Amino acid sequence: MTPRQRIATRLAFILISIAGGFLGIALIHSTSRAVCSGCGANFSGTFYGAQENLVTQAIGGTIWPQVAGNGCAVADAVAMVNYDYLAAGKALRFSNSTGQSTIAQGNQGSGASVWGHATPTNAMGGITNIAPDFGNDPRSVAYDIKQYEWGTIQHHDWIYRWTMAHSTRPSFAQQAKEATTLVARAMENWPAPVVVFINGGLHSVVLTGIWSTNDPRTNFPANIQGLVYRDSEGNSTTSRQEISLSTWIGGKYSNPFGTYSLWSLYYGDRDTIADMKNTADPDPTVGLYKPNSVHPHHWYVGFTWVRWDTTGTDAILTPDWAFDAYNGTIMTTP
Amino acid sequence: MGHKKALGRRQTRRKIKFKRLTRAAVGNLAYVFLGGAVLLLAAVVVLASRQFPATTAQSSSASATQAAATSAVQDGWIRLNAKTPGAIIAAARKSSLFNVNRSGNGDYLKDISHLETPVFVRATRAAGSAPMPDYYVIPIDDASGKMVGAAELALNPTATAVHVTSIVTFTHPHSHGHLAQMSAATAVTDVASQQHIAMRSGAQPQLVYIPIDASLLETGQITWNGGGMYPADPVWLIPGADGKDHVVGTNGRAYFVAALPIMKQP
Repeated sequence: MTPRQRIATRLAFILISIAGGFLGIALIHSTSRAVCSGCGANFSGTFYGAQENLVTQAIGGTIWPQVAGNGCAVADAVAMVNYDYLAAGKALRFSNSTGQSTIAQGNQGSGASVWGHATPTNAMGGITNIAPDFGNDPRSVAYDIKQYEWGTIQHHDWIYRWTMAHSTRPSFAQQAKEATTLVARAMENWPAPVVVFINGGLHSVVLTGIWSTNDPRTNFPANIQGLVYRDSEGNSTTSRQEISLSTWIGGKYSNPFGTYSLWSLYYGDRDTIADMKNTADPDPTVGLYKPNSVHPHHWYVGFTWVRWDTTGTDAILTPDWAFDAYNGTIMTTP
Repeated sequence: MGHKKALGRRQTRRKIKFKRLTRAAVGNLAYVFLGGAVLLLAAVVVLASRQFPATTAQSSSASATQAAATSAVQDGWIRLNAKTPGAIIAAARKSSLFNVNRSGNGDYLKDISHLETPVFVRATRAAGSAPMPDYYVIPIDDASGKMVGAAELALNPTATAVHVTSIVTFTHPHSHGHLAQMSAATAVTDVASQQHIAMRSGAQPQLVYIPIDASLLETGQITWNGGGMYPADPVWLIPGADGKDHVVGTNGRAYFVAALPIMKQP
């Protein structure tokens, strides 16, 4: 072979290598587009939350809607317990609406906190409330989920007030975004639903997911795009609401069950931010979290939710304990 | 002997000739190989170019859309360039809820690509009622054409911008093109038969929703069974010949607007 022929051969090999490279990149690119086919548009962000098929089963048939006007939290507890059973590959814990009655009746005779219970009691929360709530307070919900949960899984009430993260008060919208980010972190760590108290504490819904364009673990607040929740006023289809972040923290959301304020108010508010006029959902009246002159609020002037606990010392604690959602620590004062 | 020598020389010449031909062929094969490689590269470049320009165009299109969206979106409000169905849908597509990741098995509507013509739904208002926005509702169909959900777009007071507040899933799929549960004609008939009021001359039935304070419903202070509580479940408002407005609930009952439990301004 002449030197020219040798050069031609080497050049041919180089060109074939370049062609191979182009082909590979083109194929990879075409595969990535195929993954996106059907999604309808260029999208951004990540969904953190529960699986649709398990949520639908957890509240399907006659399991939802809530059987009593003040029974939202009990219905939410049923959904949470059922979801965890299904996620673990087990059969539904509650297969119809009698599950709500079972929990409500059980609350009348057992489940009081180590500090006792609030009076008067009602047909839903019974002696599991530490506040004279018209339904179930957050501690009661944590107890109900734990009581009927499989294995050793724990649920606790988590609370966020701006004072946990700041020395000066941020805007209300900022506070609501931060609280939402903390819920998103929980869902990022464990893709399960969370019970969230809305409408100034008058109602609770099962939050099943949050979209964010950045990582909630490392951004505070994260760039939340939207949220999905299930409302026990409805059934497995009509209960689902996908809302924008502006709707979540702006309120005035007209939906099949009335016009909601969502997280445009603190827990305990009625009409305006920090008016604390919600008499149906007061702060605790017994135990460690009963407000005092030094710590005037527990749930009030903040946001609260009940969620699955991951690992650490919190997993061995009873549902009596609430957690500082920003620092992840047990609250030893209101 | 001489014959054998001549035969040997002939064979040697043949071998040399064969070697020359083979060398020439192999040598030329290198050029053929080079030519093939050039052709292959050209083909791959053409193939790749069908992906990359499309992708680049798509990316620039996406970037342009996002840039446009960024400039047109303020706190979730998207400028409405016109009140045509196309402009309303185009505005909705710039919203965050239309651009979230709907792949995977999460708890959301997976396909929101089949959109029907937007429907205008007014907020029902009465003296002292809370200021609530009017809406455009964009019905969302499944692949078979059944209406399975809806996007709700709040309209600002000057009707120059929209905000996609939510995407809701219906209890049961509706027929294509039927957002309201009853026809306007039936609503007019219901008002006439139940309240003995005809529709005002020259007026038209309007789709409305009735904002009702959920806290009052939750605590049992009011009850409401007439539906129409949200824009994606609108009911008909009939301007009456008596000078009053009438609404027909999803339960088929006719109400005076003044008698509806519309949310009050706090």
